[in-house]
Amino acid sequence: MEQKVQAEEGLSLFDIIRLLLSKIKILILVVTISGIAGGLLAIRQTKDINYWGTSVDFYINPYNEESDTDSESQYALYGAYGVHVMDGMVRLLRSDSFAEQLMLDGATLPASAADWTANETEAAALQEKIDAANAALKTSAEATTARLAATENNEKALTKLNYQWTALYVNGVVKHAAFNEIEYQTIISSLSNVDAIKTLIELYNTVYDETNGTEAIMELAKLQATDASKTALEAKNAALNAWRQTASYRSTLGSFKGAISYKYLGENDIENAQQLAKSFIYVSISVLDNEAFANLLLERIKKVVPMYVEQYMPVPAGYDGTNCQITSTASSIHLTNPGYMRNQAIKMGILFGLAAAVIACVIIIVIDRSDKRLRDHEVITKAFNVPVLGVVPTIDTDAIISKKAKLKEVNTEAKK
Amino acid sequence: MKLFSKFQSLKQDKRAKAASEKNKHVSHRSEYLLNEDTPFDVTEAFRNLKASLSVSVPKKQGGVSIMLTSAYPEDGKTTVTVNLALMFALSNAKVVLVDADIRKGRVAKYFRHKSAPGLSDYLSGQVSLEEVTHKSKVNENLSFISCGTQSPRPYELLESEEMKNLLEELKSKYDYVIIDTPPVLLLSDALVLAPITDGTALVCRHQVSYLSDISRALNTLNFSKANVLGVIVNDYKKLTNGGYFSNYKNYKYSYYKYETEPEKEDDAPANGNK
Repeated sequence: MEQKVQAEEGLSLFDIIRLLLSKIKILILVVTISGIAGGLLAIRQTKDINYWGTSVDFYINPYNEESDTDSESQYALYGAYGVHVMDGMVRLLRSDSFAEQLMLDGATLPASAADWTANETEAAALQEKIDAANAALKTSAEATTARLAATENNEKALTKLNYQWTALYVNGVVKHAAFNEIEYQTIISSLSNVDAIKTLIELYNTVYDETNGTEAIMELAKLQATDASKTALEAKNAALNAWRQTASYRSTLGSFKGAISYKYLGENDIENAQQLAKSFIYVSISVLDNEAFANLLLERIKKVVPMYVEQYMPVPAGYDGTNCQITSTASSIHLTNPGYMRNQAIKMGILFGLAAAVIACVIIIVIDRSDKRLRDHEVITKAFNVPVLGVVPTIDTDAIISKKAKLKEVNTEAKK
Repeated sequence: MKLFSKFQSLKQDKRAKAASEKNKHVSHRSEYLLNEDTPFDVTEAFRNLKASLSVSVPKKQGGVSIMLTSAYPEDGKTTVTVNLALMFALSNAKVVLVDADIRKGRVAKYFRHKSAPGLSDYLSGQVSLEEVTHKSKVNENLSFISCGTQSPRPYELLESEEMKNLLEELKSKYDYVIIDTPPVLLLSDALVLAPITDGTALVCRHQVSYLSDISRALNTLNFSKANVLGVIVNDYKKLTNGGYFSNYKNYKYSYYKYETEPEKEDDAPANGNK
């Protein structure tokens, strides 16, 4: 018979519901307290959290000038920038490279090493590299300009004097036989600048081969002119690499990247032809508890994004350039999370309440299942095979006593 | 688990104190007797119980003896016994209620009577049957024999020939002999009487008695060759609210500790009814 005690059969859904309803007051209390606790916790965590930001929309079109973004004529740009192109551009904007551009505010190199490291030795070394790179860049720029100018002159001379080359060759001035003859005298008379003549000859002596024509020599002139640029590029990279090793670089890069998000209108988001005809990049700024930084970001975004997009956006066939313009008058930096604390409090309160309710329900069910006391008299017949002779309800003596007291009172009143 | 048991024990002590306080407030066990103020469902329950027992016990020549016991104390066994006896009496049957709980009988309290002299005194040969048999004031058909003076050997008294003879004599005089006995899992007194009574009913308490205890009590009674008629569920609460924890086993053992000093009678009249 002892084994039959286990006949307290499994709990059905109805039993569970009935059990939980019988404990509804406890559940309500638990949920309420937990919800309040969750809300208070959320308030404590979020009361000082303010997000500053705004949104800026950029319209990109494959022309070198700004467009009317609301004009119907823009329909003609359908397919100008495919989704993959836009995707690639946005990826570039999300890259460390562009974040660096923002950090440098569009400049080539950091303005001052002291802005990036407090270590004096490190700052001095970095500043030296920056200065060297700047000097090399300046030299390169000047050299390139001069060389290009010289090359242009040479080209004119070459085209003009294309049949006296043999004479130069014969005289040993020019080491290779010319494809076209150039009149030596014509060169002398057309190029009053001795240096220019020397440059021309030098070029030919260096690069001439039978396949090289005037354009090739011009290109080479440019290349040689950019030897200085090459040096400058190396100096610039050295300075940038040193800058990237500074303590502030990584944290600043993270701040810039984390505070800005970029989006474009993807294929699946396009709802009408007007949207399809326009290529937009949507930039959002969101900064925690730093309004000044948010403003800084906004200014730089407005300045650097168009420069960068115009520089790197592929130009579709048949078009002549890229223009990136701000379409919306971006609102100033403002608080983007009004009601954040309230919303978080509500969310946390609900989460805590639900979690507490679930845990409380589980506990109630576990406790109930572990309670092996007599709850249903029918179990006795099933478990022990003995009849239940009677079921006597609770005798509420309090009710009986109070009833008697009331009756006594009534009788006393009646007697009076 | 230790903490849990300790917690339950503390709760149970608190509950026992609260129950004790409540009983003091009730002022007397007679409040539990069926009367015109008793709710209808309670009265009807006892009526049904009486009817069930009437048909359960085989009819023989002479009276019928029915013993009521429980697994552990505080299951409401005595209240059920007294009210059952009263219900039988209300149906014009001649009933005698015997309090065989010599260690801690309470039947007399329901009738505002002294416990002594009673059954133990009669079985000891100190008094006559007439001296211990009292008519109740609540119903002229109902008589009762209280437990009597506390005895150091109640088991032996109940096991004696005198007890068997008493039972036979009562059955010859009354239609029903209702016997209140100690809890069967705590003491063996009830097991002595079980084989010599016509039927045994086990009283258990809703949301208090453990199924395992009920099982053990039934097993024990069957082993003692009792004629188990069935189970009576007492203190049934309609809206189950889970109740409270009651690991009252520890309480039960101390409850039945033998006391050298007699218990104080509360509100007992100066002269007991006879």
